[in-house]
Amino acid sequence: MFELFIARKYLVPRRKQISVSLIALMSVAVIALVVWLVLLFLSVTEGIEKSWLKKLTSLNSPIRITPTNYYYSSYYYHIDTISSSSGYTHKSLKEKLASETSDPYLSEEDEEIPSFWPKPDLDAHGNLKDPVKALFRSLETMKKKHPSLLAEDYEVTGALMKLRLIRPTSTLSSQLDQQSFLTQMTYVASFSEKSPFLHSLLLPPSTEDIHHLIYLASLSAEDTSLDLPHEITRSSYELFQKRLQPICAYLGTMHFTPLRSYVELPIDSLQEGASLQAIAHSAHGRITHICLPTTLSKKLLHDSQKRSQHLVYGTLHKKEGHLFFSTQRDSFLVDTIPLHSDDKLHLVGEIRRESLNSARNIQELFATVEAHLQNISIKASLPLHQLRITKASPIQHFENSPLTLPLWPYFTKNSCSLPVTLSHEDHGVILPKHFKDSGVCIGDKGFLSYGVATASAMQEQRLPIYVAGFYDPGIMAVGAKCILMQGDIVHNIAMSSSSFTLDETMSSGIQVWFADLEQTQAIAASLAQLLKQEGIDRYFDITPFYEYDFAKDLLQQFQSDKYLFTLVGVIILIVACSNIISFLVLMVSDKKKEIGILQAMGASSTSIAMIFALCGAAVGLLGSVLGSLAAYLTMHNISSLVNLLSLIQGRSAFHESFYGSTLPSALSSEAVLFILISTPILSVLAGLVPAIKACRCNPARTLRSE
Amino acid sequence: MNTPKIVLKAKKLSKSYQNGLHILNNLSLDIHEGETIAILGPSGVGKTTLLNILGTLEEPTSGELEILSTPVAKANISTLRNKHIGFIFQFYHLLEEYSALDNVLLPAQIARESTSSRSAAKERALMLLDKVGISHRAHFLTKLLSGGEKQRVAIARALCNNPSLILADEPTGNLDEQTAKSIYHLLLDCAKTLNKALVIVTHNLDFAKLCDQRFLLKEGFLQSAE
Repeated sequence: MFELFIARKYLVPRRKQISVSLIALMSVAVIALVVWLVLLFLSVTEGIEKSWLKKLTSLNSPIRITPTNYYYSSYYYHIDTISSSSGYTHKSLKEKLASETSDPYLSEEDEEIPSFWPKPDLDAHGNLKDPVKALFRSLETMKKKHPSLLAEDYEVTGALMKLRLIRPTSTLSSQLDQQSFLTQMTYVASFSEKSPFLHSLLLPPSTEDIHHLIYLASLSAEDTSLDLPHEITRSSYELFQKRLQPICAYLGTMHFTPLRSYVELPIDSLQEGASLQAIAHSAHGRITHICLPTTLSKKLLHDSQKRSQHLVYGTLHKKEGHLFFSTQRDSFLVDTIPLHSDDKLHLVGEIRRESLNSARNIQELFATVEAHLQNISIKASLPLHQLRITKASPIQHFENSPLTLPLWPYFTKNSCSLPVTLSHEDHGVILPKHFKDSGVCIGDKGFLSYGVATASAMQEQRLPIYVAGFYDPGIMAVGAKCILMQGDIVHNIAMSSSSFTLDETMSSGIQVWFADLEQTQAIAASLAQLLKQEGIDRYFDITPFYEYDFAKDLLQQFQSDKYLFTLVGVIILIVACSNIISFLVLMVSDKKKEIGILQAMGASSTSIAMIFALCGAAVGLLGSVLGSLAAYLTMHNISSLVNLLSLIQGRSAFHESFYGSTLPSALSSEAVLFILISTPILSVLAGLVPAIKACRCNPARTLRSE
Repeated sequence: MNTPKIVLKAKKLSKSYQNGLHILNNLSLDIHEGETIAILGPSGVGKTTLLNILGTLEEPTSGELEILSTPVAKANISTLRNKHIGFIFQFYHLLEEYSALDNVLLPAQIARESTSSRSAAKERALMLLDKVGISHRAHFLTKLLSGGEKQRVAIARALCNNPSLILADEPTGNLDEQTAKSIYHLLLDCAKTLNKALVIVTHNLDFAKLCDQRFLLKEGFLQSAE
């Protein structure tokens, strides 16, 4: 193709055509810069949107099936309230599914059905339709087509949560405790054990949580339903042991540093023959303690030549089970003198099993640790209260359900579970993570308060709770107020609470999960079709996540923002590509004689136009490839970029609650496709103006003027 | 003896500009296969304009032009130009950044030869470069060649697509006498051996005498210059 042959020659920079080459390079650079910027922007935006959507659909499921007003006003729903076999109370969806009969009413035993009640909805055989069972049958049918589909009922209610926060004045060892209270009106929702994605929202217990759990284990069981500060006593041996076991059983290997500026090392932590640099501290002419620096220091070696009034530099070595401190002149036996590490000592180990079984309080708990001191390995058993846990990976994943339940949510093969109770007294709740930012830790206790109407008055009911963990609710406004509990307990609260009423159609339903969010619309449509076939479509509403009342506005805003950002991207791409016009106009003027020659040789106007359009497309394509490559590299090193921005601003550049803990690092394939298609097209369009100018050249005039 | 085929037929060609200048006035001309024609005339009389009109680079104000019995007004001009007309200019008009071979091949490339005929075109281009005596410079950039060499490359290029008509506009006007003579002879030799119709615009009466016919362009008419 001769057009390509000519265009390639035109694009290769030449010394004689420095101005054209420079403008071509500038056009490529500008397009690359814009492509980089647009790709970065669109990828981060899409990544954030995906992360928000994932959080939304992990917590609330991609599809919700909620009973309609028709369901709540049906004979099927109300019949339980006058049926003795149903205990004269409304049944939840779960109970309806588990009930043996669709119609529990016994005309011989139960009172007469009021005449104003709706008539029973009968099927073709004259039996009462069971919409809940029919719904689950439909879901089972759907499961055959979509094996990843999972469904679970949920309930939402509300209660006043009050947490009593007990804190030591200093970590672990203090005898003095501070008390404060945190009160918040909350939504209480069912903890969805079957949700395959909930685990991604649950935060693992932090080191602060572990410190706090061990600290709380040392306090006696007090009545958590009290809402005034009261005396805190220490646990008995039995209680301490009982509370400690479920914590320490799943702590595994941890990392520690000294809690204060040093930790005291026992003599037997040093191996026979070990020799270390040391500084002896003296007072009144006697050595009080010997400090062992963590790393070898040249300065220390240099200083060892000197003697100050209170510090003596020397070498500590262990020989025949005894410790000797040697200076250049003397050597002392120092077996009885305490050995201190510095605060940089990094220890790895776990809680000592023997001490775990015998400890009566925190002071008697020991950790078996290993560390490197001046490149020499040491092993020691150190009191836990002298150490600060810096890293812990509490076990959360189990093959089968563990015998001793951990105090935090745990995962088995198919489900995610909440520990039932702490000491069989309180119910575990999962709080939104902003509570953690407010200082709440796993193990904190409190109660849920709600009003129960009795025949004579409204009574306050208090349900003891403890904080079992935290979850990331994303950015949904309601998320910050929604706590998660065992579904049964939520149902009990919903049934008995009179102080909090939620629209019936919002208070319970079925959550449906599946692997691919893209399938949401198709699955919702298929489900609707199945419900119609079962004749129960009037009983249930099927709501995909993008129509959730609490998320709709936000998702629509995302969509609008996405369109807006894409539009802005296109506009700046157009501006960048229009640079090609000036480059090609200059090139056409520069190549006028050659255009004339080509025309005289028989090149058509289309061919001439195509040469310049190809030049434009090549510049656009090269710019977009370079920009995409730069964007790919930037996205893979986005944390460095964020750190740099944060450093420049002097604060976190991207707020965690909005952008997540890390910015998305994957390049959006949609954005790349958009760029790689739109940029060359825009470049060709930009190249058309000079191309038309080129093909309108009059060869006779051009060649004559030469 | 058969009458040679008419390659170009011009009927009552006129060319005038908006400023009232009349260059050609009802000019008619037939050019036959293998015929060589020299057009003489003082500078500015319209020789190049006539050649451009005959080569379809310019449109006449009125009149008809047929190339190989095809009316130019109805034909695809660029294809016609590419397949049937070869141009040789006073200032060579080669693509300076390309080799001599690339320049010769250009008309074949424009004709979008298939892969098989592309190699044949290359062979033909090398043969033509050899014929014009410059095969040793085939891979030299044309900007590095001398004036005579450039014109030889231009002659080879004009013959690349085996056209029926070659139009040469003062092909030796920019060369020294010795080189001009050799180029002139080469051009005539090529036209005769390859049986091409050749129209040369020149000032040189000695060269013109070597052509089959000589015309003087005067006041828009062609007069025989015998």
